[in-house]
Amino acid sequence: MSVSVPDAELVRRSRDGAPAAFEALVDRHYPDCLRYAFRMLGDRAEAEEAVQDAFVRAHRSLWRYREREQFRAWLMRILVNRCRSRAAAARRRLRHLEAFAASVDRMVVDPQPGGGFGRAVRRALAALPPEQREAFLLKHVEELSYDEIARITGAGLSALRMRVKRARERLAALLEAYRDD
Amino acid sequence: MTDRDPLLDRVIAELKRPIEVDPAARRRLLDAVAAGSRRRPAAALLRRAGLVGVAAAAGIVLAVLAWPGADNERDVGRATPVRFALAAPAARDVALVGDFNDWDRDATPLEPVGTGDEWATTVWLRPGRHAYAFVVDGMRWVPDPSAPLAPDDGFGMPTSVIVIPENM
Repeated sequence: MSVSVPDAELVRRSRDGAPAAFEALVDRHYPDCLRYAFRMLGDRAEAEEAVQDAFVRAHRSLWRYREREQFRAWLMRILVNRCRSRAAAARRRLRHLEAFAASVDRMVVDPQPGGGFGRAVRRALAALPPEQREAFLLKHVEELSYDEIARITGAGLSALRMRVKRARERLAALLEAYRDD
Repeated sequence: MTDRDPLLDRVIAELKRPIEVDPAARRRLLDAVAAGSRRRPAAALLRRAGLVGVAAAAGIVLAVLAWPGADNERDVGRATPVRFALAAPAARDVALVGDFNDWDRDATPLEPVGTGDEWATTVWLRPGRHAYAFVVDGMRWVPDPSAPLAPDDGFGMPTSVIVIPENM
């Protein structure tokens, strides 16, 4: 039987200067963080950079963490902001992709021989407006509550519910061709 | 909860598939954390500037002073001296933390002014928007009562904001 040390205890040990404790937090939360960043940014290198940046900032700011909040939610809040910053920078670099995204937004993702369902899902996700993609991923993939998502994103509950609803409708429309697979 | 749309259930299951972690990326992350905990760039910058606090009313006061010299010009660029102050009569110590010093509690301590009811320090800030707060007695987080609050920075603590114009 293995006993898992709670996040809050690992944070306390990290604050006391134990690198192994923070390493344990990294190992515990890195996979979820990488998944969110990759789904949000659509690029592995960008996602790894965002996750690294989030952990560095979290480590530097551990003393600002309050135990009344789940560490995972606190960390996700930092990561969401890092992903927003990186996405904004990427948009500035590649303005023309916005026009591309707008055109994708209006079309249905056709099944592609060899492309597979996974690729179609990634394309459909990329076609969502960033705020819808963000809310959908936090709600349905990271399984956070609307209250937690509201604290993370700064958006109101009704706005978040609407974003998730629209994301679901858009994804279902874009991937309709896969419904009977 | 997906209102039981089987297609959306498949989409979510696909998106939940874990991304394989690259051990090299994990190593880079841990190295960056270790490097970040070793360096204190803003603190060093402020020490080089050799600044001390002076008495004034509570709140921040932008003090446009003469450029101190060329020795540290490359480091501080077009920085402007900004005085930060907080009324905290019962405090044992007060620190300034912000994006300009990596939110480092040890980088920028305030000095008691006069009778000790007020604490102040002056730092050099580059043009742009800066988020900051005070930390009283090591743990109590206090935004500047004389400055506007910044939008949530993602850490869940209220911060104040100051904008240094380009042509100060």
